[in-house]
Amino acid sequence: MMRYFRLYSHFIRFSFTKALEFRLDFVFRFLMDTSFYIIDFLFFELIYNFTPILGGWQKEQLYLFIPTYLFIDAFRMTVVANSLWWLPKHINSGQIDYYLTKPVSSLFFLSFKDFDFSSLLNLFLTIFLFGYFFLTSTINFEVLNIALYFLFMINALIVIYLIQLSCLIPVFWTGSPRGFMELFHSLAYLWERPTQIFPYVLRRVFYSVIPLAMVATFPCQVLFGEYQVVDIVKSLFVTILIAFFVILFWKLGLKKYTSASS
Amino acid sequence: MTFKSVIRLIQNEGRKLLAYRLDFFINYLVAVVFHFLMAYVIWKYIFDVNQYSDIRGMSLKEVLFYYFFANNLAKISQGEGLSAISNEIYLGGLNKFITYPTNFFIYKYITYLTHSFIYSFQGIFLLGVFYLIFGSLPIDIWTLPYLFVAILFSCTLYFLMNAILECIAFWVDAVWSLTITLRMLSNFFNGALIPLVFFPGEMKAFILKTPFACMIHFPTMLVQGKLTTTEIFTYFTLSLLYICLMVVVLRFVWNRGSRVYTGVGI
Repeated sequence: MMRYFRLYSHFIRFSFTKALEFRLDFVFRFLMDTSFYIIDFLFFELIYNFTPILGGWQKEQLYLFIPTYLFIDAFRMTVVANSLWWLPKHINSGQIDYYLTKPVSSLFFLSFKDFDFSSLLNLFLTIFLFGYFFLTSTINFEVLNIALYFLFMINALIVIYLIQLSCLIPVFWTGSPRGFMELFHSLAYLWERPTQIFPYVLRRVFYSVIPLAMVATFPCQVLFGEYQVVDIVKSLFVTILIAFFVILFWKLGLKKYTSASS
Repeated sequence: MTFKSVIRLIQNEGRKLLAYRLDFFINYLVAVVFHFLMAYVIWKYIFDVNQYSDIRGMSLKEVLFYYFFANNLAKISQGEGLSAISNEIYLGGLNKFITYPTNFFIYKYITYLTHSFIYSFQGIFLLGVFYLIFGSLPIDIWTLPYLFVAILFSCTLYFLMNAILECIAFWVDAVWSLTITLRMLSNFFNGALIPLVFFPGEMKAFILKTPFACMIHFPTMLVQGKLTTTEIFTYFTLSLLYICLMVVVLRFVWNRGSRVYTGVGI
């Protein structure tokens, strides 16, 4: 475990050196993500012009939901997005060979080797946004629910990583340049809305088979006290199950991998 | 470029695009279907909970068709062109356009339109699916000839906006985030995310004067027969004006950028 920590600290150091080479990219990325945040707030602001509640949530609750998924996305962008962007290229060009020969998990190496410093600023911005709406909220939060909210935020980070990875692994078979990243970005539209607005069948699907509700809706439901103990157990079980299948999928992909010609 | 070379270019782009068929179909169909599903769920919820029969003159079915058409159009008009120009600058690929008797922007524009053209077949397929599910298409058939021109203008506007931003690559190391920002902002201000008629008064009045309104809002309202002849004429004029303006800006940026282009890539 210590070896992985040491390795990760090296990844961060190398990424920082790389980031200093593209200083203006910091500004552009910040601009990009800030526009994304403003648009999301404007979108819901416009929606609330036509309805007092959305998925059973009032505007105040939704203003905690928005920074929740923005944080998850910013975290993904900072920690894994850059590395995973290169994954299809590595698979298609046969560069996975290099990672397979290293005495560490190839999946760890390929997922975390590139830490994105330019997105780090946005991560702080999302924390600030959440903090602001949390402190100005009139809702009475329970300490246990707040603690569970943070637990399920960690769970959400794992889930979103697994979803993105499962959209990229098919490259082993298709050989396409970007995998199903468009599918991943489209899925984002689903987890960026409260899952309660979906019909019953889809809701069940999003809480179990394709756990999109775990990304932002469920952590917020926990924060608002809208859960039962059994939901918590189920959610953790779903994450473990999905992780098992995605790792299995990755291993199948590696079996299919034929170096430069794959 | 001769007509023959244009046809060859279209054929090549088509082949390139269809080389990864599964990706091609999934990336288009899934994106449009998911966006539509999201809009369906939200607006159905709002209409049901608040017992609306219409919102600002649009019934639920019209809102749904709006989203369906707008999302198809957004995909068609925004094509696959991300980084197509900046990569040529970064990798020194412009050299071949300097030495060959081919205009770089005409070449890129044709490849861009080829993507849009091929995407539009999937759009037509999805229109058929919409018809089968909802039983009718709220389309004003007499607007179809105008629609073709409106879509062409929409593609051209987006191509030019994107091209101007990508030309910044002459001076800056990474511009992809700028093109993504353009895509996000344009999808909000062109009405793909929320119909412009649902925007508050002053904000709507302002956006309707920008080129964004000509990209999705105009063709979508046009096909639904919700525009008067004067409005149609105004939007066409506005589109042409913005296209001319952007061509001037693009020429300016391109001329300045060409002077600093070294031809060796980065």
